[in-house]
Amino acid sequence: MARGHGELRLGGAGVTGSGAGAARGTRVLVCECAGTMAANVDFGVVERGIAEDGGLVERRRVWCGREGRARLAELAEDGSGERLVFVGCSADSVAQRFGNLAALGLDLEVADVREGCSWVHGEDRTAVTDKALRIARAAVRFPAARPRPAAPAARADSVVVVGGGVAGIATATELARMGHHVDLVEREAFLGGYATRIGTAYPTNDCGACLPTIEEQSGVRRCLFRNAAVDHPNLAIWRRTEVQSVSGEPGGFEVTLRQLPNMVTQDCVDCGLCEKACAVTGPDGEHKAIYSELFDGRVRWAVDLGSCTFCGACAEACPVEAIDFTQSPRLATIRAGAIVAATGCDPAPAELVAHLGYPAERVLTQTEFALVLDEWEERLWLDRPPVGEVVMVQCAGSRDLRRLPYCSRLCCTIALKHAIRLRRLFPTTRVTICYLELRTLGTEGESWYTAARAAGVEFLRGSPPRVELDADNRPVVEVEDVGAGVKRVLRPDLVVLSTGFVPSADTERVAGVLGARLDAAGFVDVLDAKNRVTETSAEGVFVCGSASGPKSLAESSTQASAAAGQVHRYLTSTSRRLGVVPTIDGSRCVGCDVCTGACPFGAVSLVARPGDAPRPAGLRDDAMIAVLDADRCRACGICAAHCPELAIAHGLDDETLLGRVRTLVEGADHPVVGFVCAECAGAAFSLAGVRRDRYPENVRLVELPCLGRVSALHLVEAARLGAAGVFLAGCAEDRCQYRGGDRSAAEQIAVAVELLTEASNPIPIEQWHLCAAERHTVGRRLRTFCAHAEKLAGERAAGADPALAGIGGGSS
Amino acid sequence: MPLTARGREMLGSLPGVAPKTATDGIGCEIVRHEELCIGCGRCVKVCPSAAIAESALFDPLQLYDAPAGTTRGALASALRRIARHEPDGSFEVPDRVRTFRTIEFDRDRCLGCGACTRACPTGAVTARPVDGTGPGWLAATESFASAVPA
Repeated sequence: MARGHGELRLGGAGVTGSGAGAARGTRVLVCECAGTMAANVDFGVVERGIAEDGGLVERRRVWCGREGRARLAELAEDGSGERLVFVGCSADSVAQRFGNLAALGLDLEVADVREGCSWVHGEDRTAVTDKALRIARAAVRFPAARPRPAAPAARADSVVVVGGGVAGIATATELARMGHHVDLVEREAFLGGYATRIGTAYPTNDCGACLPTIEEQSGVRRCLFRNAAVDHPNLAIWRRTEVQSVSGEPGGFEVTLRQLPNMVTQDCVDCGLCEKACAVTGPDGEHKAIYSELFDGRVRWAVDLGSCTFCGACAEACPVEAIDFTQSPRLATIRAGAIVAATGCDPAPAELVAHLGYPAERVLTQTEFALVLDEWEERLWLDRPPVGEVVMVQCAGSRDLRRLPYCSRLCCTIALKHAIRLRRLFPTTRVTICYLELRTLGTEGESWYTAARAAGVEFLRGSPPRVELDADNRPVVEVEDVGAGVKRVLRPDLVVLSTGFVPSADTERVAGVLGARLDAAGFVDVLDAKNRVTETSAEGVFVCGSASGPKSLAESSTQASAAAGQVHRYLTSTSRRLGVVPTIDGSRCVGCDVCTGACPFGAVSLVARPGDAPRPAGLRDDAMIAVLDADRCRACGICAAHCPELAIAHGLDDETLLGRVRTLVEGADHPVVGFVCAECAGAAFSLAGVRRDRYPENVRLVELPCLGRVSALHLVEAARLGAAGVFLAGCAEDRCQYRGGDRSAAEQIAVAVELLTEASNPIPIEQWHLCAAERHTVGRRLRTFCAHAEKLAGERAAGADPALAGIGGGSS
Repeated sequence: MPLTARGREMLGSLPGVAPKTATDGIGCEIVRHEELCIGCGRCVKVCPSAAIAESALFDPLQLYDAPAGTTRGALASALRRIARHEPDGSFEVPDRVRTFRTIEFDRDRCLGCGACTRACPTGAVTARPVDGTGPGWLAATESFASAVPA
């Protein structure tokens, strides 16, 4: 089938821009760096070589001096539109020295012959000069697309916060006070979430309904349920509301909300006559079908839509006609510049602790026990302990590959809190905590542990595999006491299970609607576990609190403030991301859909091909075409590496990339090609260059935005050009700046190695994970790898059967 | 479903059939042109009878007739120049790599519906009228029925 696009010719002279004259319209600024490269680079040869290509060369002893800088300013402002290539130090050094000229419009492409060549090589002047010229030529002949100029951001000045727990409320109020409009969306009829429903909370031993206060009142905090804490003109609260769908772009989302009616209007005077009139019991048997739970300053009562029979008794009883059964569900679409997921977590479901006898009358979870403790405290006047012995089981269902594989972090402290409280209420009650390890970290955590010891709580190291019930329904706990080395049988009055926490029931759906990824445990995945903990994989979508993993109130509060700060920055930043956005060549794209799955950021989608779009010849009428969302795209190039049709031109398209490799490698003696990512590994290489760690000059470095740009084709082509070995240096393992780049590269390497092996011409191809801290290993790695690659090349040459060479090439 | 240009072309030669819709193509014999396949797997996704599957393996020989200007074609061009002999075996492909996979086509399960033909972005799957040597609509249906657990 004929494809309607120009062939990508490889290996021949046909690649565009590869010969003399390719550099017309390019001004090449050569810097001798004050003679620091004179020992091994002959700049006369470099200058003549570039001139042969047609480049206009300006050579100076030093460009970063006063005269050089003045000349650069002149070039930046002359408006000639000339391409400027700087041949001298590394991109990092150029940015440091000339960064302030960028404001004048100076845009330098960098050919690094200092840190990447002269400074790291020996005295062989011919070889090093040859390499320096190749580096300059590769940049001059094969221009990379330049980053687009910063475009002004048009972001809606409003935020949707999904989840009205403590994290969501704190973020929402913080943002409202910063002056942004906030829509706080809560699934339940009342705000507050778990933290406000579990009695007293760690670390302060009071309730979880505190919000920070800054200027509105004296004191340091205020109560969610008083003080009109959520009353702010910028804050709209949507109760019983779910996010149904999200469309639009980051910065300008269209959020469709579905709100179920409350049936009780704001006219309510909180008299409670309705509840007395109601004859229907609610779902969990705890309250009537019209009920009041937590008062957060607006409406105190709500009708439970699941159990209400709509008999109208409450409406008749209401003295102010505040019950309106004509309300119906409604859909609303609101605009939002950013969205915060604060969907929280839930205690682990019962089935995860079924092996520990749950649920039973005398087997409770810590969440339930918190409420029981509140009740016991009310009845303290009985002066008789309600129970004689309590056993708490830590890691109940947690850190168990068949149940919850992770540690929820909070359960140890919660158990200590309850154990201390119990001992203080009833000093004669025996409390034993069975634990594997107690994870109460930090100064605060340790003081809880010592306080528990002081309160007389007993600690038993060992985890009971199961809890049985005897004939009287009393729990029997068989546990191996690891400390004493004996098996013990405990017969307490009550077993309290310290269960872990799971993502809240709605997390998966909400994350799907928002386009945010989930981690292995099902929590919202954060963009970077170290320093972007309130951002998600979806641009403009933020996360805080337990939605990204179980958190204490203190951590949730910290995250809420952090998220508010991040959202504020996002909404008020004046320009969008710089960077090269790949383009998709419609005359090559066949709409095969491979790129959409490859993109880690969901920036590529498949759409119906417009009638006027270019198309490959012979394409079906109804074929689709891939389109890129420039605002989501982070320009890693992973899509380009996966494209089977070479249709995606990244800043470095395939012709440029392969052309550069060829310029650097062809005809060199046992060259070793290194693809280096511009992030962590780039920093390591740049710093290693400043250290002047020597390595052989047959190493040829090609800088890429991300290793994900590399495809099997580039590796095989490097081998064809005579590379003795190829290495790919990228970010630390699983720390790719673009999420998927390292894995993508590893897969492409696997394919390339197999292809070369099948062709009986294997070369060593390695992937290195480097960070800037590993700069001192770069030189040693390169020396070792070069020696290894050369040795293998020698063995291959010795073992080669000349009669076999070239077979399979006949049809080319 | 309206017919595509290729569908019209394909069905135009069917004896005694005036093709109006894609379903008129039912009973066609599916012909795969492996040299045009780019391994995107769209045919696998649309096949109603699971007759098409992505293999865990890839045979490098499939590269050798791929059109120039594609990744596979460019790879072939590079490999040919350095190969000491023709590739003689398939290799296992990492899980997430979709584009280097041999597509396995089980003719016995094929219904001849042509869904893969419509889904293929490169024209690597075509359909031709049953000429008596292919499975035919009835035989294919029976074979499919027997493959489905009762």
